Amino acid sequence: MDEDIELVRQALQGVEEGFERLVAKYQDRVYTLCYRYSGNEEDAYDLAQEAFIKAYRSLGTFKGSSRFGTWLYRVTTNVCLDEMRRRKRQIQTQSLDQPVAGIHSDMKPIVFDNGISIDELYEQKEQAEYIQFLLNQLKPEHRMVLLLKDIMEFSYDEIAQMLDVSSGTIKSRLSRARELLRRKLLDREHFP
Amino acid sequence: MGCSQVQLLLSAYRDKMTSREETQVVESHLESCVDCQDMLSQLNQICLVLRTLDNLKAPRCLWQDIKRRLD
Repeated sequence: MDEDIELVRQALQGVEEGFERLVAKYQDRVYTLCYRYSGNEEDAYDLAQEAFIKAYRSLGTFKGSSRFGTWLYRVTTNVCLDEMRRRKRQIQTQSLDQPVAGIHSDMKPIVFDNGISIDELYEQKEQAEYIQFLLNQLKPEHRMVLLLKDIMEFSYDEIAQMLDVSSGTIKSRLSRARELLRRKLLDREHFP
Repeated sequence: MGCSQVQLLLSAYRDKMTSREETQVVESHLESCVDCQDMLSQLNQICLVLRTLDNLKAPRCLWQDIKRRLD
């Protein structure tokens, strides 16, 4: 029997260790998804907690037709989208036309083909935070589909299942999200 | 098919999610269009950068806080 399914079975029977082991197995990926979505550690922690608690309380609805991980990430994406909509918090309102605050203020933008490679720039520790800053500028639905495809590396069909939309919708939404991110980079870089 | 229509397909094309017909149209167009070649290259670089973002470690206290809320 699939190990995850066995752990779910244990958890449903009240064996605490079953769910504890599921948390241990998936907590880093869940936390990463929440962090990349929210853009800050505090919200990421709250969202990850909420995702696991919601998953625990919904374990009875997990039928094993998909992998447990896929089901858990679906719960997590819903928690992220619902919670952040509910809060109506503008996570990052700073315009890309303005200097980036704090540690980002003197950060060089990504440049495509005009002499400095992304690889070179990415060697800078701050680069990941700069990418995160750009992600934060996107609408939640665009940010989420980029996270699930390009960071978490799920397939179109898996993402469609998680977000409860068609694969065609994922295709067009992802195209739009990547184009928006590309344009932000181009605007920022004065690309010739 | 013009650039604007091809560019709408480039994201799916790089993911190998276009139909055989769409793939042929895109590849035929790319052979002679530098602008669309550049755009595809940029999309590939964006995806590469996103993919190299680190997988983060969840704080150690996560399970304890979850457990406390479930008890």
